[in-house]
Amino acid sequence: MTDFRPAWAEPFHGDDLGTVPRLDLPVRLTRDWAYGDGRGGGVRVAVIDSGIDASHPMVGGVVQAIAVERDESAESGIRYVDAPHDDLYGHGTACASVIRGLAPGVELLSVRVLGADLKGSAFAFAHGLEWCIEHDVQIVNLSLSTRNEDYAETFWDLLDTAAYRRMLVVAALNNERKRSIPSEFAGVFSVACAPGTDREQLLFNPNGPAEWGAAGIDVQVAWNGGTTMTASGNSFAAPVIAGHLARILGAHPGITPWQARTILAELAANHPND
Amino acid sequence: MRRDDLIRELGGLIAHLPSVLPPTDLVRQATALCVTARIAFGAGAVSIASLHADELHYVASDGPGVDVIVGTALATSRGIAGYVAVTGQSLAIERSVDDDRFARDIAERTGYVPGSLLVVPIRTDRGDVCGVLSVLDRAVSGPGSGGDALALATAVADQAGLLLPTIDETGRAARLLLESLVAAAASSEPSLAAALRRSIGALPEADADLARVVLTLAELRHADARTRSRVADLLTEIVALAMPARRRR
Repeated sequence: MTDFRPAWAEPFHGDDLGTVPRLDLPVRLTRDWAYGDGRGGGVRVAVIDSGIDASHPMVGGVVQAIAVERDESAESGIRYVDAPHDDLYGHGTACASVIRGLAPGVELLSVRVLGADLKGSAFAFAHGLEWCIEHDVQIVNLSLSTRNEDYAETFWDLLDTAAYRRMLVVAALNNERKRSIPSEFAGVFSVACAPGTDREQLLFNPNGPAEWGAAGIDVQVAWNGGTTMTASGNSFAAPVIAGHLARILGAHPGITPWQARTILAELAANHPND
Repeated sequence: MRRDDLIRELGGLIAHLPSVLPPTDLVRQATALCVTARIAFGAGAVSIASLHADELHYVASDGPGVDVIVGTALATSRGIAGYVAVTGQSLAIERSVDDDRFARDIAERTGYVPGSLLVVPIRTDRGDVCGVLSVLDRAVSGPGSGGDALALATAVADQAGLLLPTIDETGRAARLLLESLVAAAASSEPSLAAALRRSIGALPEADADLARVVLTLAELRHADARTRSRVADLLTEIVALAMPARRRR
């Protein structure tokens, strides 16, 4: 079935996308140069979501699991619980499986920000992102967003800090045309669904806010209980971009988000030289 | 009836309120919306659930197992619908039976296990998630397919968003009154009416205000139709003036 098309995915489904702006490099960047061995070896990738089922065969384990929980006695109002945890819904496991499939050498971290007393709050997302900044995470996949405008400035600050620490933040836009914070911000790799199910193909939209297009409609993903699902949503397109970035960081450690953006755009299927 | 028996009976009634309280007309509208959506999607079933704290209460449905589904409460800590309610992000999946947390108990009780599921959040006009719309086994062709499934589901959810808050508020007001009645009956106050006022006074401020409004409006039953209409107009204007301006994007 292909009847599910998220609103923010529209630029990638019409004829108006256009091409990646020309850099006219004297030599075209190749996938081999960009990806190296394509494994993303040792790159620390965090999935901020509902948790990860580390035992799922398509996930291949996590190096660390952190749960953000409310703690009224703490000054910040939260505590970080560093212990193995479940995936509450299966969504985080799905995202992790996509990343692992593209970059099998990454070190996956699960940062769980959903739970009984959190209810998908922007407060928890922001603390999850802050934890990643403070713990040398190199790539964050955030297939969640908030409409809560009160948190816009908090996320701006966090994204600025993340950028200067060379942490790449990949964020899925909401499936509806609703406010999508921080996914709409220029500081993140914002992602929506592109046509098709080929995760090797990505599209670049220089006009944003849906900056990157990747497979996310009717795609196979891992789910709870060692199962798989065919699922649709921008949620499942974001980890595709995270996986490609992990390959790039594995081959070119220490590059900035802006350098990674340039390399990724040169690999896009709508590059003018293709 | 002895006072103890009355209290026990009222207590039992409150325990079952979620399934009996919603105003009939509004629930019929929600059900009609499910019927319309089911036809538009060519779907196996469509349901509307209302979000209450950590639970989804199914208030309307069309399709197999409707008698089982309506009135059922599911924790938001589980399942696809729970995820959508908690995060406000829609999801579309195939072969939902693979999800061991997906309302397996309901699926087994109704005898209907969906092959596909599309769930979108229902929002109030302020943007807060107040429920979810679930479309089970939508057709692969027809008006609800061809890239429009999400747009159609969102449009239906927007309509449901106009109904759910009213259903919930009416139910909440009635629940408050019954709870107050139980407290009043359990007190040593000789006059039930006086005990009722006293127990409403002991409610949290916002709940007490709501209960007081309902009690006051109940006096209107003695008024003629013209007076009732004028009071209703007046109240509408007062509420509009009292509510803070709502931001829209």
